[in-house]
Amino acid sequence: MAVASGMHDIVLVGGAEKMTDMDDVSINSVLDATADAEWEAGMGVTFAGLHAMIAQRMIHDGIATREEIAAFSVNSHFHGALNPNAQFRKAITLDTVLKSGPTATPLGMFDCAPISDGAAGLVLCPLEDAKKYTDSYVKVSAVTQASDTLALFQRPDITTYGATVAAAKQAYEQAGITAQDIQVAEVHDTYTVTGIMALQDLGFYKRGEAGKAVLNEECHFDWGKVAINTSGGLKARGHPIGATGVAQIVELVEQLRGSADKRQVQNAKYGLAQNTGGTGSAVTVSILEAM
Amino acid sequence: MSSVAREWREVPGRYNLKGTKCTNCGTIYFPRRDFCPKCRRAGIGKIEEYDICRTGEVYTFSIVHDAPAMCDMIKPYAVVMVKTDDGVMIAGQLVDVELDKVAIGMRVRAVMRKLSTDGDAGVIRYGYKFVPAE
Ligand SMILES: [Zn+2]
Repeated sequence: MAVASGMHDIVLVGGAEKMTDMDDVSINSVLDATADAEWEAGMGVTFAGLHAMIAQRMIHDGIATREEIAAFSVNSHFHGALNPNAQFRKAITLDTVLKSGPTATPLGMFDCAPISDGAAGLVLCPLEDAKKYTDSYVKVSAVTQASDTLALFQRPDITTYGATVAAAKQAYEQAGITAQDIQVAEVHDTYTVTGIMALQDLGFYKRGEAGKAVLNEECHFDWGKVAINTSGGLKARGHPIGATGVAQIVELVEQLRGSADKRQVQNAKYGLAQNTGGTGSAVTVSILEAM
Repeated sequence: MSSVAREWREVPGRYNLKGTKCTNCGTIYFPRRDFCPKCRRAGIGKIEEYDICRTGEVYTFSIVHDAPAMCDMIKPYAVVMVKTDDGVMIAGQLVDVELDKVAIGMRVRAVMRKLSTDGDAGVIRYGYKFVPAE
């Protein structure tokens, strides 16, 4: 917006976080505060607990099975193993996720994004000036944001993020495309279950079908459907909170430039990034286009 | 965790499940709202105090193993979202229960319990928790 309006000629976007300066209990308290501090965290309902309750209800309602939810982590690690900049560069099996120690049932350690240190950066400028600086630029086609109630329990349905649905709808309109036009997407898998929800809320899959596709490895970079979290996602690339949103865009740029090496999605024209705050109380969606 | 003023304003809700109801459209708000976002202007002056039903059933749940400092002594413990018998959703803990017996649809009722001990002064925060209802 700043460069499109002419207010600035060039903008450097940076994101950085060093989470390992704090112990894990303190970090979790910070994360808990991104939900409703009084009526959720103040009741002992942790951030992981809220996501676990979403997962429990999804399983109950037949939207996804425990295995399908766990498979999201397997997909992230599959791609993380192909990304030299990922925090965890090792593929894992479904069994590893299912047998990992419980954080908040039904979710285990391997359903949760890790504590990470990291940084990412981008350079933005007006599209017509980009050629002056580089031959391999991409176009920002849409950036949108939507919000919802802070507390999860105040929503009509906890198995969908209304803010993702709203931000995605606007983004597709801005870019003049539909969900079917996207070849590669980075979604906010703070927990495996939010990854599954994102695939449905962004319109890539119908409700009840995202989990099946993930379990069937259809989200891999070389399957031919929309490739999901080719960077390794929050789970395997890492989740240094302040850097995550920028890192998602960096991965899309690599893919759309054709410089994603071993995890390159063929003929990627449009990439989408979805970033979430709290339990979906704020969501941004960005769409980038190859030039 | 929150300002002193906010703490006191929210005590009636936390102790007695007091919320509000918009008499224009019938929507119940918990925690309380003094303005109905559905009715907007049409709801002004039509918001009444409302006692939320203290019984309901488990809508979803989780057994928390990785606990915050305030709950470290009681882990693992059950957290639930309860749909009260008047249709209001509330998040909280489910106590006095065998953890492997917690299930969606289970009948529960709200009771007042100690939630946490705050800060170095050790001020005890009370509020609702749920227990199994016969
Ligand atoms: Zn109303």
